[in-house]
Amino acid sequence: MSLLQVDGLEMHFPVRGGVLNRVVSHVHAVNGVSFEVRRGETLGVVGESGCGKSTLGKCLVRLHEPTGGSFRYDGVEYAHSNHGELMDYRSRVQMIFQDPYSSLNPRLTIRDCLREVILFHGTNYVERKGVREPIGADELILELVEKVGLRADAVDKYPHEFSGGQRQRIGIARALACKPEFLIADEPVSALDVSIQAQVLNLLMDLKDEFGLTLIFISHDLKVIEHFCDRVLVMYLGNVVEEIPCEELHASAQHPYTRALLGANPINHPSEKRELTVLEGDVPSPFDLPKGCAFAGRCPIAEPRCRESRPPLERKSSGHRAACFLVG
Amino acid sequence: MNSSHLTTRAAREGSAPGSGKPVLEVEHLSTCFKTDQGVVTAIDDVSFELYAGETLGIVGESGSGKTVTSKSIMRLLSEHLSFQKEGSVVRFEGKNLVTATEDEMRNVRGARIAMIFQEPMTSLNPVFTIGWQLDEALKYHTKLNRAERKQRAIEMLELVEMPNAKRRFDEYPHQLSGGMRQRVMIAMALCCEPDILIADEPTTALDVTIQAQILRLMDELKSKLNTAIMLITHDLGVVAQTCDRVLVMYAGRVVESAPIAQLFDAPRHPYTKALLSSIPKSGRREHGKRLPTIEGLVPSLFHLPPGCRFAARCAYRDAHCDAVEPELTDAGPRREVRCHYPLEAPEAN
Amino acid sequence: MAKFMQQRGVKKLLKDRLAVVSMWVIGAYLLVALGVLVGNLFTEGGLKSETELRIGPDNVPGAWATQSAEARLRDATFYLDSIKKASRGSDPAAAYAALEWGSDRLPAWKPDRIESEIIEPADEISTALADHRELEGNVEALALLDRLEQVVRARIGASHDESGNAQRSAGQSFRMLLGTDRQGRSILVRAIYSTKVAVQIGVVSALISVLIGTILGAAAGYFGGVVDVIVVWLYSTFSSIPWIVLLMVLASAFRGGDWDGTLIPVYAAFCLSFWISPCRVVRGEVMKLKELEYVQAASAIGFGRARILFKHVIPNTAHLMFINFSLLFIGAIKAEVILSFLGLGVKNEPSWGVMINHAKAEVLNGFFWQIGTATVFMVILVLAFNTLSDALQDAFDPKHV
Repeated sequence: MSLLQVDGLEMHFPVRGGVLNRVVSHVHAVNGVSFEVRRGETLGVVGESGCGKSTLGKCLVRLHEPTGGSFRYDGVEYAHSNHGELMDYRSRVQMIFQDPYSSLNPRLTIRDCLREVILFHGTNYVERKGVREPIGADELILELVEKVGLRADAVDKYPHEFSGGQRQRIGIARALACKPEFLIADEPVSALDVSIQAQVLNLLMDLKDEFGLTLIFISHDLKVIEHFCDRVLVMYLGNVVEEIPCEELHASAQHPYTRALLGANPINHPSEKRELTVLEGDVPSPFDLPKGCAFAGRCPIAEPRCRESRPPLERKSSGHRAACFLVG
Repeated sequence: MNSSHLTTRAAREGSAPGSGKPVLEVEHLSTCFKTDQGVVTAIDDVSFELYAGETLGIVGESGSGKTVTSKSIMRLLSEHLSFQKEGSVVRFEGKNLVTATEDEMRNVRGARIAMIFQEPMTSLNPVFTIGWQLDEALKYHTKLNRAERKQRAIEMLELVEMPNAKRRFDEYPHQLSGGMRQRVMIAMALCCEPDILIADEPTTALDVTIQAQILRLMDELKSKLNTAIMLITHDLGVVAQTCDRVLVMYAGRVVESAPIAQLFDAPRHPYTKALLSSIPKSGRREHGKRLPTIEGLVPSLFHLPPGCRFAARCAYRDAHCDAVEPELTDAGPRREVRCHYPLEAPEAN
Repeated sequence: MAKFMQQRGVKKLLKDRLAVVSMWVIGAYLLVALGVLVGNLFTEGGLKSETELRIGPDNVPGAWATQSAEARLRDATFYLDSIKKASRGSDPAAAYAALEWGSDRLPAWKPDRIESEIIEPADEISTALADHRELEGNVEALALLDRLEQVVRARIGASHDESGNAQRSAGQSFRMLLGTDRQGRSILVRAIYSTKVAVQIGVVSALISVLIGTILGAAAGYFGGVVDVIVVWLYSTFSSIPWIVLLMVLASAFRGGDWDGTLIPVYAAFCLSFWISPCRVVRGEVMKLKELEYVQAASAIGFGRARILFKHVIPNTAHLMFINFSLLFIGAIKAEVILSFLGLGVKNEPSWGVMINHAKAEVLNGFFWQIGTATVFMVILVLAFNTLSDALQDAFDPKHV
């Protein structure tokens, strides 16, 4: 059963310019994206900078109101709900941010930061046999801090007293303070050192099991996605070009862009040494999208018809969809 | 440390890349910073040498001192805030760069040892054209006339596979994408045919498909120009892809140095081993398994332990490790490791 | 407070020796200002009357100067003349009692004793002195002058022993320390009183300006859209008027109204032109802050916009408020001096600007002590504040923290 159902989601940002500050064009950050997330799974979203993966995440926690399309969470439409209607949704769906240095308010201690969230959503309770028993906010704060692997004496410190990895743990604790069931993690480990990345990934994995969380994991790093996720959406210029279970990624990825991403990833071991697949050119600007396939300009196998019309995302096999005329 | 005997051994071993006389020898380089909280030693007794035509990777996490090493070699650190300890030697063409005058350094920087940085968005001056900036570097370091300089600049842009090099010559940095700017940086770095190229995280800010372009480019240029490359990175995948030899740094110390294949096959320092196993592998079907991690944090340079700096996070430590810091010792051909109990040596093959 | 002291910015500030010295200096000024303010409330007629008091002859230099014989003669004649003037009235006893120069008074003698012990011998010596053309270097004349001073000046004092001999009181020496102005008023007392006026104007106008600027700037930066357009239009309009002209217009607009003579026109003028710079800076900072992930996290949690603005955004502009406050404080003090110098600022009270204005004519005659005192008092305060605001900027600059 799908917990989150996204249909044709669009996010176009107006670009203002000229003397009169009129809207001169739109940035097509997310351009008609559809997918679903089942309860308990981890969906990866991968793509290069500017492909719209972060914007997609921000639309889903309603930091942006999508300009088109819709998404339903647990059967309820939230794409255009107002602040009040979103309150329940917000306590169920939370976000983890990329930059551990700017994601915490420097003037709040960890205790203040968590307490604010807990009291706001009234999550200071424990559930025992289906019955909610209230507990003190401080008790819950300590529990959260220990759950994310920090010592109890951390609660009265300020963010600047922590390292990047520790701050990311605090960011996770803040998201968990709402007692969510769905987490959207936007590049949660990209800013961290290699050894710390592994710690945070393991933590997310443990918390997912413990709290039965469903996750969308946004990253530019295919290796991390492959390791962490069940399925992956590959995005290019605001479109999903391929959706594929991670287990099949290497064997049966079909879209030339997915293949290029796989080939461009540096090797694991020098003995595997091979030429990296090199895509010529850069990602085109998202201001005026080409009429046909967005990837046609860099695609090694593009044909004239690729530039004429946009290939639809077609089902290839169970759980595998790809948007290309020329494969499968 | 044992630079002289390493050199002779390298010479003995013949003609593989990384043999012959080293172009750069770093011996006992220690750089200290003066901070509000006192003097802190950012890199401590770093020694290595670099040979023509080889790529030396310097790997480490943030704070390990890899960038400080490169900036100390180039003398790019503020003289008010930092200093090199007595006995630090950076030998380049028979001169010690640590004690060289600022005039001598100016002739070395850019012309003989060039550097490219992580951030392609900020390392070019936004108010001048690409051509102007290339021309300035050539004007400073060569005796070419105006027309020759322009021709050379365009050649360099073509060399780094810049499409439409002639047109790009008159464009401003903001008209180029990140990957293109990094190409311009490489063109600027290489335009005086330096002996050494220091690349400090050159692809960290780039997308993976662009990273692949730049890595391939650097590899091609190395074989074309026989430049020695010092690649500073935190990404072991990039190291595996491009380097011949690796130096692993931890908390300001070199903990292991080895040829690339040996390092990945049989890391001898526990830190290297843990680091290698903590990255997710592509295509290995390890999905959903917990990654092995290195628990704990890198020690603060202000409160270094008396013994091994990695001891607190090490799975193999004992009381000896806490008390005495190990020396960097030979561990097989062209390998060094700083550990009391180095891991199993690989079978010789 | 303990939390505040532990912040890195504060620690860094306390390590800066120059900043600490300037904080002590500013502290001293604030203490003086507070003292004057409290004194004004609890003394009858206020300390203000003290600043209008005639404490001696005009343009007497302060304690640093050795007086010329002419000046000594002139001073003694001044005291003698004012005693004689009192004796000519219908009720000399009352007139003598009413005579005062600062806290100095005539001894409480009967009028005839004053007549016989002060006026008569003094007149005699004066007549004898009048025979001498040259005073300087003339031993005989100088001896006469000493006697005259003994008779006239020594009789005047707050405390007298039984024989009527008096020494100048401590209060009077203090008042005379930096000399007197054209109307015989104590320059030191006026300069000290002006400290209160300056600090009052500085604190009130800087506080209100920073408050208005921060709220408008934060609202403009955070909400954007129409709010931003209105605020930007407002401050571009205000900042296109030269501030000194705006001050002059506002100051004269208030003239003759209920608030004429109070400091309110000055406050109004300053606040209207000073809110612009904090507004501009805070607006920019807030536009940057609202894109930061902790602000986004706060909206993802569901906090309302007002709560985010006041709890997560504005507190993080505190360093800008600090810095702007200290800059505007100096700005207000300097503007007050200029405005008062032009005769548009403070009225009915002394201020450094008023003192400098009054000193215009004196300076030409070489009486520099009034303008000098006012300037030095102002310069030390402004310098201390400048040093402090530089140190504040260094300490709280997020790039270095």
